[in-house]
Amino acid sequence: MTSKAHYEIDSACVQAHEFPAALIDLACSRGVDSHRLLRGTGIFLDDFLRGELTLRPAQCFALLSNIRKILPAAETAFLAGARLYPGNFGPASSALQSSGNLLQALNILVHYQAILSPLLSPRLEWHCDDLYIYWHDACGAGEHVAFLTDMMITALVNTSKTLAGRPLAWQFHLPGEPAHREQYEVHWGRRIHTHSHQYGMQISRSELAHPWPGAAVSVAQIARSQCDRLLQELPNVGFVALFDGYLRDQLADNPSLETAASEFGISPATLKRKLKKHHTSFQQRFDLVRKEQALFWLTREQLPLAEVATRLHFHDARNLRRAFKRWTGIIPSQLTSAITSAR
Amino acid sequence: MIRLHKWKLLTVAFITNITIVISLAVGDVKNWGDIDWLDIVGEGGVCLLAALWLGFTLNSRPNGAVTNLLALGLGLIFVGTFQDLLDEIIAIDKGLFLNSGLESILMPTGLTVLTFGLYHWHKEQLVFSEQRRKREQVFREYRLQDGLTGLGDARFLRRQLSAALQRARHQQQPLALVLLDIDHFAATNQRFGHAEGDRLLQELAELILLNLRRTDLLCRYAGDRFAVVLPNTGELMAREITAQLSRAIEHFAYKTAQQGETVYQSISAGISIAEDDKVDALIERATTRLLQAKDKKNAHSVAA
Repeated sequence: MTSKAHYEIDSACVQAHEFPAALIDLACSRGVDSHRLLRGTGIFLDDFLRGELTLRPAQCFALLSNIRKILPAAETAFLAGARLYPGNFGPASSALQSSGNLLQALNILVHYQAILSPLLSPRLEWHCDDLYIYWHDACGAGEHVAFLTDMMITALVNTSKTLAGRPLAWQFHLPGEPAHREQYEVHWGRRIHTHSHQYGMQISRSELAHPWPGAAVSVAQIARSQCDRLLQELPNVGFVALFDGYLRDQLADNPSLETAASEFGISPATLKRKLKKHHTSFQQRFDLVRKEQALFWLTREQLPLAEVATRLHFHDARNLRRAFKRWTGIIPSQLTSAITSAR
Repeated sequence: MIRLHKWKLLTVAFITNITIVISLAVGDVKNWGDIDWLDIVGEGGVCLLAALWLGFTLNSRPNGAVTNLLALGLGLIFVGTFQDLLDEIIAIDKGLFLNSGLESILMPTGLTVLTFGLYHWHKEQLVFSEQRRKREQVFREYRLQDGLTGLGDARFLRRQLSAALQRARHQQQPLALVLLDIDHFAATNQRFGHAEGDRLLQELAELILLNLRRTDLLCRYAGDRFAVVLPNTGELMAREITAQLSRAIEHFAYKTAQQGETVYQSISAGISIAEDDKVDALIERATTRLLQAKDKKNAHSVAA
């Protein structure tokens, strides 16, 4: 696992003309002064325009902070998302553009996440007739996770609509009641489930293999192998996403800071420092992963509480209930009643 | 602001300097023990506030007669209070004009000029309010304004709608809400770029405003969706106004900034009439009708 190259919040790994360009472009089209936009980011406009600048994720976050301060309107995340794809991502853009159906497009997004979505990493989860897509922090987005999630979901909704030539029947899950419901309704559509305790997209499996008009098999294949070559030299997963993935895989063995550290080949103190650098902690990651897993087991698989408690190594259902309340603000019984009433 | 009002600011600074120089020439700086600190804080505070007002006013206004009056009035007040502050620090003979006379002339003159300026500002504001009537009716809240079009946003709409609903119930008059959505707006964005899409939204907002009555209110709901509140309007009239808007937009030959290419637009609309219900239900119904209209249109274009 440690042999897999990963990038951290301070690794220079984001091509400025790829992902950040959507943000800079949005700000410029709204007449934002470029000095104000780039203040404190360590980015210079001339370097950016030359198209050879590589940024650290931390610089992207500084840029995000500036944009959110200068353009505080609720629609900013949605506008940035709408501009993201096809964008200027080199072969990854062509691969996405020439995908034959939604499933291929999603696979490209997951596979070349480091290029197409360096700050959030998409995760696919299959259940019954539906596919769920979750967006996770890749490398320490901290306070920007919600903004970035709105942005990435908008990007995927828009691209799939353009490529399919019609709007797809997405369903959306939001953690609570959003402050600006109208933005979600207009940019995403009406099928929005609030109070789902996590962000997610949902689509029926039948939509996945539906052929898209712009499919170009050979173009897609060439673009994919070009991307593969690129990623051989570059790290292809963010540290936080890698760590979450490890926790998810090891849930059955009840991982701890110590076991995780030895798995990553570093001391517990170094791991702690590394997580802190990414604005998070072991407990925060562990709680998040367990919350998501508990939600999946309780709402989708409808497992009994005691079973979930055992699987997550809680002493009994009461302890799980208390932890669940801490994670989501409600107890599991309220959750299931809310979900069933929504149906 | 500095460049636009350079001369006004320079004049105020120059006069302030002259008063310092003259005061120093005719008076002596007081000893530490003779200074009344309470007076310094009080008069210094007034002086500082006058400077702040001057700054805010100049910063928020273009050049013109009203601005000149406001600046002159506030400038006089500032110099007057500054002179007042100075003679707390510099001892000047009681008999001299500089001590009492200057301040007693500057302050009343300043206040009079400011009052005159405020009166004209009020006249000016009436003109603008009339122009902005269909955007804000009788309520203004800059924090609820959409930065792109200058219309109120969805929160502004909810607020206005709830007041309008109450009024309609009270006066036993009908009230209609229309939601408008531009067809294939994403495709326009894709084809001409998002900056062009933004400009199109701005121009459409102006166009819709032109076609509304004096009592109607236009808001930007979100994205390419607009909301029109039509007081004293029943189903039939609302349909008529919506049809008028739809025709106006279809005939609008928008020109792109780059190539001057002509782009035609069409809209879909959803109308809901208030029936003794809440704001959210009213918006909900209009949204449902809007999406139905959209679906029908899409099905039609696929079939054709």
